[in-house]
Amino acid sequence: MTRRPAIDARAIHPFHLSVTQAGPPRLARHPKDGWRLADPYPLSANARRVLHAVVRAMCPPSPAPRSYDLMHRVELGARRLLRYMHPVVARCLELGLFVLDWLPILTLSSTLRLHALGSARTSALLARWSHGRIKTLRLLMQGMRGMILSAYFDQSEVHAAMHYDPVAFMHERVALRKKLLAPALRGAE
Amino acid sequence: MLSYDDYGKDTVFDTDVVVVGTGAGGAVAGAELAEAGRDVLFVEEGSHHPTSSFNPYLTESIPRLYRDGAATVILGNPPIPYAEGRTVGGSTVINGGMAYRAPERVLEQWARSTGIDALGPRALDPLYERVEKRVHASLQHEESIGNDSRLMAKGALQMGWKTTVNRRAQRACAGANNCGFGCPTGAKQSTLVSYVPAAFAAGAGCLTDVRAERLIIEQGRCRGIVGRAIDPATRRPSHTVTVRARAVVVACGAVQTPYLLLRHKLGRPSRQLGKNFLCHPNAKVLAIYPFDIEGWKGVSQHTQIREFTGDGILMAENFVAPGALAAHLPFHGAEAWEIMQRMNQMLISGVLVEDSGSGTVSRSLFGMAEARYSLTELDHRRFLRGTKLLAQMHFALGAEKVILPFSTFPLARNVDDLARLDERSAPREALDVFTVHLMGTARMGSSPRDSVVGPGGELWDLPGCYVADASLFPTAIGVNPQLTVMALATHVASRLELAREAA
Repeated sequence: MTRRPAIDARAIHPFHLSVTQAGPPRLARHPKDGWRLADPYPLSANARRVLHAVVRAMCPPSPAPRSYDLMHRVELGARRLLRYMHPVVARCLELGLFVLDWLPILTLSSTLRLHALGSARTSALLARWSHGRIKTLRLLMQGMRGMILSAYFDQSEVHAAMHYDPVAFMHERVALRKKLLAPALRGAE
Repeated sequence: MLSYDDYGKDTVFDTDVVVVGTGAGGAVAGAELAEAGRDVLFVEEGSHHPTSSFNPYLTESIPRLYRDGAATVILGNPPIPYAEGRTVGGSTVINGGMAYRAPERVLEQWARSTGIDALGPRALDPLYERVEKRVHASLQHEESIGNDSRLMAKGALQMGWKTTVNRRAQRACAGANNCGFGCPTGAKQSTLVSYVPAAFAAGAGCLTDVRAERLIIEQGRCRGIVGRAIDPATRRPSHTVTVRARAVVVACGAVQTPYLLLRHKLGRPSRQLGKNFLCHPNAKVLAIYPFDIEGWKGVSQHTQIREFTGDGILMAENFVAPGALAAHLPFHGAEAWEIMQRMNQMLISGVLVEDSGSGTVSRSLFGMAEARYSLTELDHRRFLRGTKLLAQMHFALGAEKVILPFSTFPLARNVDDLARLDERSAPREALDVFTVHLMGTARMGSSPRDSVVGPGGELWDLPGCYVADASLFPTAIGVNPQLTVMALATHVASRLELAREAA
C-alpha cells in the first residue's frame, strides 16, 4: 500500500466544507454551497454591441415577458455560458458575432451593420440565415439560438408566463419521496 | 475530497490506483478496487455538487454539471450536438438513469467477433446482477408516472406497438423530472450517491477540479497522470497536480478517453484508438395537444416503444426543461414564443437510431477533442421512418400539430402533411439530431491487431493503463448504455493487476 502526501483527502477547507455539506434540497437559484459561478466572458465592446442586438432580436417580443432587466440577465447568462465553453468554441462564437454584424452589408441586405438595425429587421435576417444554404452559418445560428434562448427560457418571469412552476412541484415530490421511503426506513429500524 | 483551493503549487500524490473520471465507468471501477483493499484516488475534472445543491435552473446547472457548457458538437453531416457530465458522478448525474442490459443478440455478437467469452451474455450476467443491485435497478412507483408517459403508452397501445416499461437506477423515485440537472431528491442512483460514497467508505479519495492532461510513462509502463487544476473564476488551467500510481484507470468517456491516450500516440498495433466512434443519434418530435399534459410533472421517461428495435429504431417520451427545449427549436422570437407558451400542452418524444456507421475522435490542432461522424443513408431513412411513425401516433391521439426535427420541414399540421416527408423534403443535412450515448473508441478485443485494449481492459501497448468506460464497446448496443458500462468496469476492476512496486 502506498502513502498519500501531506494533504489529507478529508482535510477541511472553508470552501471544501461548504461544497460537501449535505442536507435537504433548497431548489433555489445560487445555492450557497460555496461553488463559484465563473465571471462573464470578456467580450470586446463591439462584440457586446452585436450580442446585445442579437439578444433583443432573438428573444420573443411582447406579450412575452420582456424588460430591460430581463434582457440584461439573458445577455449576462450568455456571456457566462461562453466562459464554460472550450476556449476555441467561445472564440469562434465571438468571431461569429463579428461576422453576423457585417453580414447584412456583405449579403447586400442592408446598408447598415446588424447592431444598427431594428429588432424586427434583425430578427428577420437571423431567421433567413438560420434556414439558409450555408452549413457553417446554420451551425453558428444554432449556437447563438441555443446560448440566448436557453438563458431567456430559464428566467423566473418567463416560467411564470408559461405556467411552469418546477420548484413548488419539486418540493411536493421531495415530500412524496419521504412517504415512499418511509416503509423501508421503518423496516430498517 | 479536495478541490481547487486545496492544491498548492505542483502537488504530488501517491497511490495504488488512480482512476480518471467518476462516472459510470470510473466510479464503479474505483469502488470495486477500493473495496478489494486497493488505495484508490479519483481524479475528476468537474467539481463536487451534492444533491442539496441541485435546482431546476439551466443557467446554473449547465455550468455546474456539463462539459464545456454543453456546447459540444460532433462534426459531420449533419453536425450532432452532444452532452456529457463534468462533475463528481459524471454523466450519471445528468442522464435519465435508465438501467437496461445490452440485448442478448448484441452480447453474443461481441463474444463471437472479439473471441472474448467474458463479453458474452452468460459471463456478463452476474456482473449485471451485481450492478443492478447496487444502483437499485427497478420499476417506477405508480405515483411518479406523469401524464406524458401515460399518453405515450396509450398511443403505442392504440397503434398496436410493443412497449417496455423502463427499469431505472432509482430508489423511491417520486418523478421530480429534473434528471438532466441533477436529481434533487437523491432518488436517482447516480454514482454520486451510490458508487462514489461506497468508494469513499472503503478509503478512496478524490481530487476534483483537476483535468488529467497526460500519462506518466516510465520504462514502458504507465505510472500515473499529470493534470492541471482548473481555476473556477476563469476556467483556465493553473497549477500542476501529479498522481503517481501502480496502475491507471482511464474512464473519461468515449471522447475524452481517446483524446488523452492519443497524446501518447497509443493504440499503434491496431490503429483503432479513436476509431469506431458510435453515438446513438436521436431526434425530438414535439406534439402539441389541445389539452393540458404538464409533461414536467412525473418521471422523465417511463416507457420505451420497442416495436421497431429490430430495424434499429427506439422511441420514447422524454421531457426536458424549457431552456433546453427552446435551444433546440428551429425558431426564435415570436415563433418560438408561440410554441413555448404551449409547453404545458406538449408531449416531447424522441427517436433513437442504432448506428449503422461509425466516426472518429482525434486531437485537433486547437487543443480539443475533435469528434467526426456522419449519418449513413440507412440511418437517415430510419429517422424519416421513426419520425413519421411517431407523428402519426400523435395525430391519432388528437395532436393539433407536430414539430419535426428537420429544418426544411419543421411542422406537420395533419397526417396528410406527413405524406410529403421524404429524403428530398427532409435531406440528411436538414436533420436536427442530438446525442448523449457516446461509445466505442477504444474497443476491447483478443488481438492487438484489431483492438485497443485486451480482454482485461489493459492497453495492448501500455501495461498498467486500463480503460473502463463506454469506449470499450465493440459495437453500438441500441439501448441506454449505463448499465453495460458499469458491468464492464466491474469486469476491468476484477482483472486489474498492480505493478509490483511504484517506480
